[in-house]
Amino acid sequence: MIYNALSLISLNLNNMENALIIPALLRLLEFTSIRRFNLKHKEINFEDEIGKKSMLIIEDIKSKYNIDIFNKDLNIEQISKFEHFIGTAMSNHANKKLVPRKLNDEIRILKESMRLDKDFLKNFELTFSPSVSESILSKLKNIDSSDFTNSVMNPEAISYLPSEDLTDQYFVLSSIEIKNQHYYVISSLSHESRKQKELVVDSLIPLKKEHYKKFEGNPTQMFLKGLDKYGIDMKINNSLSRYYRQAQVPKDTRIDSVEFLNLQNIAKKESFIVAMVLIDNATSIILKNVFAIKTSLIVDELNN
Amino acid sequence: MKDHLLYYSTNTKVAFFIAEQFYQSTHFVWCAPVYNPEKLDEYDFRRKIPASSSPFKIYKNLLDDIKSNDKHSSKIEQNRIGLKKGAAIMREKGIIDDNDFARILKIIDLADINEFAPLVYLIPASLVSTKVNSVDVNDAASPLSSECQIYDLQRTEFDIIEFE
Repeated sequence: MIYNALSLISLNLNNMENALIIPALLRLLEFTSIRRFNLKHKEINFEDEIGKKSMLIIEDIKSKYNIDIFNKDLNIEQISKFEHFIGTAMSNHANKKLVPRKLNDEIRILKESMRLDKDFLKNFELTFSPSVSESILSKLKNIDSSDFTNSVMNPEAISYLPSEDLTDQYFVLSSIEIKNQHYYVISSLSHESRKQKELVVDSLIPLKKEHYKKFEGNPTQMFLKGLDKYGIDMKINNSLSRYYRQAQVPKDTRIDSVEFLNLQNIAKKESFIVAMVLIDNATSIILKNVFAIKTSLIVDELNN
Repeated sequence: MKDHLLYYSTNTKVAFFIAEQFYQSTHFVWCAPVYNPEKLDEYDFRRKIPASSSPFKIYKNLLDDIKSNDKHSSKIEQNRIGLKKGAAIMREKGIIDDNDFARILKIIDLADINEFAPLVYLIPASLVSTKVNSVDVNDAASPLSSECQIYDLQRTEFDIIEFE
């Protein structure tokens, strides 16, 4: 098979209503299962709204790649090729339309993070970064920093993200109650090896328990849910993302400025950037674990 | 159907990872009541399980393709499509949102050949007796075979083994 180059495949989905594209593609994969496994008793509806979109895709593949999925003489390789086109179209649509940003680093933390024992934090003292104190804690009406300290120090789960340099990252999942509302708190913590006993809370992300129950026990997945809700897309080196495991910027970049990240005109006072490690070398600065949170939304959530 | 002690299901590492991370440790699996049907005597009806559904054959074919570094393996390509279809179904059911759907598809597309290494799930029949669905004869790879599906296998209901 030589049709692996994703960029070469382009189906005409532009004129389709977004909400119907994935269902239409899914229906085609169900149809190819019928063809592949000869499931004679199963039928696919091509006459409803989704089915009509599926038909358009079938016609597109027929005209561009000369594969007619209704042709009973198709062999397994041709059916596989058709499925490949559908799978690729699904990926392209998910990436370009649903989430128009790079996801590689978000996926990396899911793959790299490791679970730690809940007692792990007992060996450390907790401090809040100035940006968390100024942008979130100082603006809360119904709760103070000691409540968050108690919450974080009594975690429900901890994920550890090992680092090759001097700073490790942790995601801590804990709970807090504010005015009878139950929240998960996802904290992002950093630990510099030279400060043996100190863990710094770089971000606090509240998520209402009723909406995120199914992710309990998985701090990394919850951190991504937090980014989905409060995260800000950033552009570094022309690459749009919401979380950078590592980003390299030119040496002359002002690292205390939001401009270089092109934060889409969101006022600095409403957000803060977390870059846990800054490594200088001759021509560039390497930032590790970079993300930005819209703090005004967090403060609104907890004050209401 | 004869009572079984175990069900066997061959899956890939990437499928396991996706189910653990995104589907709350709930796994959809095809399984069979015997690992290698070819080793049964000729009067055992389970011998009718075709090669395409034999946990042993699926395991062996995947492992062979990985060992030979077959980057165009049809088995692996089929697995990618199956995983994408599964993700689209989960999205339709509301189990995952659009962000997770995009992440899952990215994981599937980025997965290299080694991430499709096979794993055998050992599933005690006593733990899953109420949720094993015998596949409709029209859906099974052979009308005489005894294949099953479990839609919501929990991580606490199986062990994993790997062979070299």
